[in-house]
Amino acid sequence: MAQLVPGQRRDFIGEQPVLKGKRVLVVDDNATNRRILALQTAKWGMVALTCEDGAQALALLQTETCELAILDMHMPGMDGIELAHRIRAGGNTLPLVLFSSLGRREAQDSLFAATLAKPLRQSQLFDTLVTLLAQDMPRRPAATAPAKDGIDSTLGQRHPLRILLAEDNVVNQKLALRLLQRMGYRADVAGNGIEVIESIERQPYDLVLMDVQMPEMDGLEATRRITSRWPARDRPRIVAMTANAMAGDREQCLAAGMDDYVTKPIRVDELVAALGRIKPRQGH
Amino acid sequence: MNDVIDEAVFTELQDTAGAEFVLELVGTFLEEAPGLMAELRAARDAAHADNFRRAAHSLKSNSQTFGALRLAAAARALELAGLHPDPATDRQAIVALQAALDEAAAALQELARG
Repeated sequence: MAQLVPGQRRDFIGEQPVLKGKRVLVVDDNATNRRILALQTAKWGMVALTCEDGAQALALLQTETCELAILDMHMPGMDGIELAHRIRAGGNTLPLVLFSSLGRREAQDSLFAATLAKPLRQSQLFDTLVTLLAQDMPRRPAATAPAKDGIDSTLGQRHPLRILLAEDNVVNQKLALRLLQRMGYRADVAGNGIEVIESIERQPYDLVLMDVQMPEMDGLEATRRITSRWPARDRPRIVAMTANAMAGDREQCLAAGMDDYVTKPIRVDELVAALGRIKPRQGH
Repeated sequence: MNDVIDEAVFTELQDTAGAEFVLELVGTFLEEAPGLMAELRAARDAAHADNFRRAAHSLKSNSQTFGALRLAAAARALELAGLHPDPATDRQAIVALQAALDEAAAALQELARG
């Protein structure tokens, strides 16, 4: 059963212009989950349509248009992955989000645009919906190599990485997700060091983009814990992001065990270079 | 060119992130900023040094993203200095910071709408 954990230090109260009026399909056999997702998305101004199984969902999509669908993984009869395949087989290209206690390792990446882990975090739900629905242009065809802004949108395909963005500042978070998206990446989000460690326990990442100044547990402390707990080959690379241009800042990050360092505001060329230095890990 | 917004920084942000997205991001910043100012004031009242620096840091970081030079400088000064032994000094600085924020907000909205 999902419970909605309040977002750290941030509240996402009231209608959100980016989400307002957008129609989301929620498919889950668990009535509590359906209710939580419907209530929360409705608070942000979205229109939620709920179904308790895949057959209902497929029937509904024949007549209704939705901008996004959240599919529970474990449902009796047709599970989330089979439902996703059947939605695609019907020619529907709406973005699909997998809702699962095991996270993305259950599904091939191309089928789902994002995954939501259980317990569901309000902040994660918000970030996921905004990232998927805030696109200011129709989604690009798969391979449009270097755009006029010089951002190579195929980088994520050519050099795939599982990325965790650790950042509590909403502006920085949105901007980083946006730049990553334009390079063809998506990322999970953690709002403090504790969430970072929980996320790493839950699933493998190749890279943590780590803000240094976060509440609860900062990036330096989180890095020390990660590096003392996992050997280098079993943990993600950690790249610091910091707005401190003070001398000694870089040394502090490296001393804590971080592997690399980019300054904020994030520059695309710096980010591309840092991502290029990361090698995807094998398996978990 | 003025010292409220560095338009080169702002234009580069629009080029890399997209103008429509930047309009939305300015909106996010302006929604977040009053909360950060409130955190700063509350930290000053409670003499909570960590929260004071962190709120100033967040304001600095966000203003740098948009090239809001004057606001960034004022926030950075508070971040680096931390709590002043005399609360009245900080309260004056916070009033100046609020003025810089208002000025930056107006300029950013105008620029973002293009």
